[in-house]
Amino acid sequence: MSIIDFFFDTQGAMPEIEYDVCIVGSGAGGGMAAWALTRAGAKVVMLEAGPAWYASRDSTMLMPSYATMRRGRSTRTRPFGEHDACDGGWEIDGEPYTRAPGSSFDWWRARMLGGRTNHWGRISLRFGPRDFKVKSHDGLGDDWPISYDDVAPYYDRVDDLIGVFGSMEGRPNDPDGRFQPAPRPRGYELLVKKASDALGIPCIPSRLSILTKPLDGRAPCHYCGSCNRGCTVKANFSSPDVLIAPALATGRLTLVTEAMAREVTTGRDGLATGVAYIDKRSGEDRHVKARVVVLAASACETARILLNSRSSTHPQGIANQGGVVGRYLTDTTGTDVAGFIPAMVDLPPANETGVGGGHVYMPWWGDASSLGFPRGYHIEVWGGRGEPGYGFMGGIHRYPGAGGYGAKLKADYRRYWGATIGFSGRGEMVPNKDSFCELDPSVVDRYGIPVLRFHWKWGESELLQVKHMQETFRSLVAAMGGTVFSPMPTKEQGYGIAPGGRIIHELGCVRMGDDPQTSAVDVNCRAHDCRNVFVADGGSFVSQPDKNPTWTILALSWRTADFITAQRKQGAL
Amino acid sequence: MTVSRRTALKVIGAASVAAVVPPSLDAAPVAPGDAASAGEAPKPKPWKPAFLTAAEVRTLRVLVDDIIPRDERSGSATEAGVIEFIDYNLAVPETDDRTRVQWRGGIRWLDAEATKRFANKYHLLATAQRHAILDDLAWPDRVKPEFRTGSAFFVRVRDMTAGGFFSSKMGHEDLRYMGGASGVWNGAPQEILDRLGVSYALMDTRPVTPK
Repeated sequence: MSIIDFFFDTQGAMPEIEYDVCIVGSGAGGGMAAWALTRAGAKVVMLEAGPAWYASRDSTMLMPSYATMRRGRSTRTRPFGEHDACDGGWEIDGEPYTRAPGSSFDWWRARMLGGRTNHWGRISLRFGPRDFKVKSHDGLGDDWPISYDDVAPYYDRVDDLIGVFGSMEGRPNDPDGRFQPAPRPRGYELLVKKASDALGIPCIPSRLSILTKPLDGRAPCHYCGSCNRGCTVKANFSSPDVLIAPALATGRLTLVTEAMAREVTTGRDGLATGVAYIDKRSGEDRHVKARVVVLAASACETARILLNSRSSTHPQGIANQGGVVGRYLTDTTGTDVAGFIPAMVDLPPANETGVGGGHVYMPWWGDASSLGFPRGYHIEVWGGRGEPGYGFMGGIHRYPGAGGYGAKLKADYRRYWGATIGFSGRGEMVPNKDSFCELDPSVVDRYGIPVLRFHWKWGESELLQVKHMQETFRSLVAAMGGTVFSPMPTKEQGYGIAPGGRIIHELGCVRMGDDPQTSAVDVNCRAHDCRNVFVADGGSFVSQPDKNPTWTILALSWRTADFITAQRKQGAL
Repeated sequence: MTVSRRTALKVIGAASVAAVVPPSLDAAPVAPGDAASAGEAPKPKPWKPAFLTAAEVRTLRVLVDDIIPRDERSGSATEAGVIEFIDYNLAVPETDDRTRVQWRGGIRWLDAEATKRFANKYHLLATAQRHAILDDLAWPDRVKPEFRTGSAFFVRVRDMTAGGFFSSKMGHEDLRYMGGASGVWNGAPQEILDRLGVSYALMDTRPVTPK
């Protein structure tokens, strides 16, 4: 019996004890904070709104699609397919949110131990020096109050602790890390490299938090390609197996699952006293006492908790004296293009699954001064012969000469299977005043907690950037001798931009800064107006570079945990 | 090496126990209504459709096998359990009523067309008669206006038939799908690199990076 098994069911009724730290949320931010704080000797309680879930125990890794009648089709709580590790979605029963008239924004929430670390593509990119000082470069948005050099030591530590593969490239705004060896590209990815070379686009090995060498008792990847189901040998990163289990093993972490946070409670002196939550199993309201509160519930959920933490000392909620909480909300821009690649027709059988993600990607290469939009994007690559499942090769008639019925049709499926390559752009959005969330004045969820109302608008910068993505992807498909499946989206169609929230990179809402009137938390992610409340998720981000946020969430959470530890040692917390 | 074989087997074992696989799936075809007739050893319960009517099953069985027939490499759509797959996925809550109506109505349309042309329901027509109808439906890019409705239904059935067939064990084997298993990765086989006209030397070059 492992230490994890022992702790699976140790929740239940808790004596009214005071913890050193209460962490809300168990994803990248919460898991990292729990790992670092328990190691430093703090007695920590963690509240998670969903059930316990460990990929090492609960994943369906290696189960073939034909094992179920759904064949991998999505379910209501698993929009990315029945085997996707992450339990959640854009709609959750009993937990509504609203949208202001004219706004469309879809809010993804995970409801399980580990949060979105069960979902993501393990793309683990560092922000670059320029990303922290964007306003100084183009005058838009704001600079961060910290620089790359402040975060770099924590990126290094995260690389060493969790593991990430990549290649040393020396690119100025895509800092190299302490990489494990990157897997060789798949055959078709070399076609992409060749086309990229022809177009002057850099195409380099991906940087994913998937082990290619053993690390701390975790096995390296066995290349089954199903990272999204969770890895039973812990070869990829997810918070429960890599951070929370070791934190539990210290004996200093108490995990409370099915605990929906209502608000941070404060005393007469205005300091936090703990967190009020609903025990979803019994439906009872409960309270946990703690000397320090760390919110890592995801950017918007953390904003919601802060806005709902109203008292006589914090009439607008905690960290909100400047009215900033909920503001500067961003998501990554995104659009996709896929094409038929004749060179890939009828390739000999081979296992080309690889890791659960692209083995190559294209970091941003453009020069903003000549493009008409200020911020860049990176390109993700997909294609080839994935596991045949639900929705297999829908629309066969889009392939040249393919279709009909009978023996000919059956042969067409065999020939054309896997002869496609797709590109997904992931770009930087500039924060704007029209994109934010706030408390809805009249709507509550099933627990009686006031819900968020979203306001959303893409700027011209984002639309032009996505147009450029579409044109670039079409050029890449053409350079490979292929044809795209879909016509170029028009301006009226927003050039095919994914709706706000659909890329699931909401950041901001509780941004950091030096001025309490224009920011919610300080350089250590501590609430300006409440010195024992911290934020350890993507809420503190000042900008949304075109790099997936998880690695920076981890680095900043560890940095904040170190600050809390130092303050505790001084007796200041 | 990577994951131990024992670990992999353990995982596969656990997976197959956990999976709810109807006995008819990927096994010999079980015709609705006559599954019990063999009367041998203990048989699993005969398959009962959750959504489709018996008449709809009769029509669809013939249609999906017209779409994916048995050949020297693999069996037909019904032999791969496509009818059970379609019925299951029409019944689950993720399928909306609009879609269900298109299936019910589409089958009715097909039988009406068959009766109009050949004075019998689709499943009772001769092969050449059925093919005459399918020839008018199976090419949506050049379909005559009067067959657009039928063609939309046909494309819907074709997509689900291919999905159900190639996602089955029989379909994986037909495609010689080798992925999704535990193994090692040392790059693509030379044969594939040659066919694509690429080599790993491509990874050694970089365009000039912007300053």
